[in-house]
Amino acid sequence: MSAVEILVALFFHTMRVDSADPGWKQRDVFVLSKGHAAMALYATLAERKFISREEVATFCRPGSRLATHGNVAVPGVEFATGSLGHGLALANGTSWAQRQAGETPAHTYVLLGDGELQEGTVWEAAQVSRALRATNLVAVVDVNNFQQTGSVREVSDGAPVADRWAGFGWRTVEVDGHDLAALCSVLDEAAGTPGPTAVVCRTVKARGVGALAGRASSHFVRLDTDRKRARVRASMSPAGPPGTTKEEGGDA
Amino acid sequence: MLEIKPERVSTRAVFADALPELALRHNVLVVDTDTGSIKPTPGMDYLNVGIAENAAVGLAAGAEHFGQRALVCTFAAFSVSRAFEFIKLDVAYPRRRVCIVGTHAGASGGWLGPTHHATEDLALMNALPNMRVVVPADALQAVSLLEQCLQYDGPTYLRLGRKASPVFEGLPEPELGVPQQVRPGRDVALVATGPEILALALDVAQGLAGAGYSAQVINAHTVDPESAGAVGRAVDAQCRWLVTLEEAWTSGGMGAQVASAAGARGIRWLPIGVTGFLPPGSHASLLEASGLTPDSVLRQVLTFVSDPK
Repeated sequence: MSAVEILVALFFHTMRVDSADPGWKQRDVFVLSKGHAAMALYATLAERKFISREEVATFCRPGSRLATHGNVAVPGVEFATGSLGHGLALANGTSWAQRQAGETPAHTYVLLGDGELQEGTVWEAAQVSRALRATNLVAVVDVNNFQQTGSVREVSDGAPVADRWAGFGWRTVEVDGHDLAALCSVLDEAAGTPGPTAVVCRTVKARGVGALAGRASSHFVRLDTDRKRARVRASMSPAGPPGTTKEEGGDA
Repeated sequence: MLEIKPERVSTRAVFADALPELALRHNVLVVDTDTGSIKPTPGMDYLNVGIAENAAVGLAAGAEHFGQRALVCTFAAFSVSRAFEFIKLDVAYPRRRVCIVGTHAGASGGWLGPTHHATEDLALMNALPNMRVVVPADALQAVSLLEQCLQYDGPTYLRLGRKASPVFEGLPEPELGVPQQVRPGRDVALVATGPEILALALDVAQGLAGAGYSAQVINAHTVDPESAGAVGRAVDAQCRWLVTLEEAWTSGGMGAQVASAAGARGIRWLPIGVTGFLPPGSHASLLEASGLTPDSVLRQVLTFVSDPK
């Protein structure tokens, strides 16, 4: 839920993609490095007509293409991810290939989580992005402050996320990851400015579901009883204009 | 009959010489990890990403996803085990046309020490579905098999040595996945992989002949499970003993694949390879410490064939 506005901004505003031709050579590429957010991606892909809305309901049912973590059987999913720390390295490859195609290359956008930044391969790849002058690469970091067993600060290190990217020499911008207009504006700027660029998004885990929001326990929730479903439904905030949420954005 | 030539040539050196032209011919992106092995030429798509094996494999996989065939040059000790998960998930699983080249393989790292020895590589690469695992028998085979890897429709691992190694007279042109009988025999089948080990097998076969045993020698230059069936079928039907020889840990290496493929016919199997971690030392001294010398292997084989069990 923390990444929904990010996905909406990318798929409905920023990226040039064609649901009728997911492999279109001139497309912008999206890499979901935080593969556990696959459900949010499936919903986005359904709204963007890569898959049908009905298919979303098959999530993890026998025979479904939609697994807990994304895989390439699903149109619009470029890589099988979920093993954290792979996406940026792969994005280095797609963005390099895009740059070979011409003077004004398409872009690669890779979505990482703040917990994922504990994987050393993220930083190994971040150095390579700079070394390769990956001007068309944008790393979007969903800083929702939580990982599976607790807050990112409690589990590991709370060093400011934006400072880390800036320290690696990346062009770094921060934004409220639930403010759709601000996201669109920052992503437009990232697309028009030579990178690599890190867009550090302050977000709220499970935003929009009061019963789950801002809690580590919402990392993986199975709504398998009527009671749970009713509680979650009752706590869901109606969709409103951007920036109207009362929940506080996370610290980036 | 196969002869060992007087000169010795490094499989890594011929790889370095041949790669620029082959990379251009087959439109291959070359990703290097600061190995110092590659001499890039103008026009070659060459990216040295530094000491970053995971990022190198990921980069190659990402580019391949966009239609760009790629090769990643690494020290075997640092690609196969360190970047194993990237090779598994980003190369082997999606069957990408990426060739992982591991130099300094086996004990050829020598005095660089156990941190730089790679005796696990065959077992790890053999564990991956889709992966073709290629060990050229000499420098000539290395160039031919490199080109075949660059044309193969899927992932490959090319195992190379470091310094000069034996070269063979009369070794036929290799074909990926197809074993080569280099000496006929009907009692003991010696299946060998890699230059030093093929030379060793030829010596041992000679020794066995002196002891009254007819020894067949097979060069297994492709050692993955997919190729093992063909190796098993290449073993002479009359052979009662199978001896596999490799400069690698035997758990999951070439021998384990061949024995698994040939097991149904009930042939007895003696796996010979590297046991345990090796100390720093010259390549030759490490082979000797592992018992991978003609005298030691001949002794082991004679004990094996005289055991009535």
